[in-house]
Amino acid sequence: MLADKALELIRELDRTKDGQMPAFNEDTIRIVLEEMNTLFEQNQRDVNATVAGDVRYFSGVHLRHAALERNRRCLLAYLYNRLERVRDMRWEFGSILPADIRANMCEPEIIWFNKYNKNLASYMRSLGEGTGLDLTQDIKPPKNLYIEVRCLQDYGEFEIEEGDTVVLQKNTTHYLPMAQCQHLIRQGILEHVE
Amino acid sequence: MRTNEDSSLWCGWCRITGLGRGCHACASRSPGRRSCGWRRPLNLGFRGFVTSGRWCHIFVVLRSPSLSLYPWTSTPSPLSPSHPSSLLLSSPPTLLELNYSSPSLQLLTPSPSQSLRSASPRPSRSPAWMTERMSPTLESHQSELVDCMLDQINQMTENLKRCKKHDFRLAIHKMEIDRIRYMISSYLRTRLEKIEKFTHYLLEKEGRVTDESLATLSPAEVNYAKEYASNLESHFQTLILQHVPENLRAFDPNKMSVKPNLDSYVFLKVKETTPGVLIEDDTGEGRDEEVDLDEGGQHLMRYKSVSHLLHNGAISLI
Repeated sequence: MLADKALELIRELDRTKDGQMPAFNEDTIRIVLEEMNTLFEQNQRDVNATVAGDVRYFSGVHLRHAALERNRRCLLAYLYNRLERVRDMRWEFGSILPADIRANMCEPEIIWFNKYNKNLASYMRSLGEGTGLDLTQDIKPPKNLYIEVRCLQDYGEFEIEEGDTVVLQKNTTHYLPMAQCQHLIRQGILEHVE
Repeated sequence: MRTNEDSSLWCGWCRITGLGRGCHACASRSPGRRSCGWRRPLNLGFRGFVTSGRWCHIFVVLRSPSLSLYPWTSTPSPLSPSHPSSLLLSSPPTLLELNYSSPSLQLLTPSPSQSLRSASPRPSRSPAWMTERMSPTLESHQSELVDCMLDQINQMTENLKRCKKHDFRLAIHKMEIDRIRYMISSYLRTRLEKIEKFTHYLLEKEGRVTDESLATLSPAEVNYAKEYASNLESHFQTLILQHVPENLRAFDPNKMSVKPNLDSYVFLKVKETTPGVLIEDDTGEGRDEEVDLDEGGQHLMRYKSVSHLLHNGAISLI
């Protein structure tokens, strides 16, 4: 059926959970693009025939054109939704993506990701009359100044305000200022104990 | 923005934050003590108004009965580290209740007397943060306010460095800074999310605006949106559009971009009585209705019908 493969792309993306990155399906995209080119050639032929005076095939042209548009729409939707996931990951993991996610992205997506990073960073720098504000921090409303955290891996010495240092060893728990250990939580070094 | 008056005349609380005279604490002091010359917060412009928010906060905490060690009520001695820091622990419910009580929320509210906003023809009088989060589309930007608040945070952080390390007031102030920062971040994040979603729609709308004070996007946001749009388009071009047949290569933002749903419904609270609000009937059967909005009432209405009231401050989104 026409545009079947394109729909398959969308379905595939929809089946994977949010927050996951399926591999970029270049093969299917190639098939869809080929289908589009074939449809276009057939259309071209029939249009020429119509212009020459034979109107028997004209309704076929309409049908194929609709299929072409549907294919393109599906392809763009596939790309767009993947980019949305990449963006969500930027907010979740920071400017460096985990290797397994990176492996599932194609080259242009990585380029887009870097451009997005740059754009976001320059916007955040411009806030507050040039002092800047990191919007990726403070995702949750602060409940306490200090939170209890458990160390998931050896990190070594960690300096908190005014020269105090704590040694973060695996499986130790600490009571640390939230503002300062937020990024360690996101890197997966610490875990917030509720 | 600090007043250059002699800071030794300020009460202890004002001195810590360096925000200048004018906290509620000063107002409650018995006469005869050194006063820092409290005035009505609103007369102090923006600084004063933020101050009032913050001080309400702490004031309520400290006025609870268990905290009679309030420096200016009975004992003039400053709170030293030896003072029970359990003061805070003895009243956790109060602190918790106050977590997101009105003072914090109002922090993003422009004050009517604020000189900064006087240039704007439509000062929005509902909390920008709440409005932004509840509205289906992007509201006008409040970048002066955001800049002001960030400046405040920086100043307060500086001032807190002068405080003694175990001073229990430090914890309250730090918490407050964290909360303000969270609010600003959350506000800006919400805006960014909308900008990314409705990029083309907003840029097109921005292009039609001639008066700068009516602009929805701040200059920094315009740059961001433009960059975002061009990145998106070049990504589409490289991967798909340059490989498809010629007649389908054009990228038409009007056909392909997401637009906010202005027909969605919002909860609102009426702040000024407005009679005769026209609710249009979209089915074309001419069943238009007029509704009177009475002050204090809460309604669930279509955003489109009430957006002009939101902009002139007669209602606020909840």
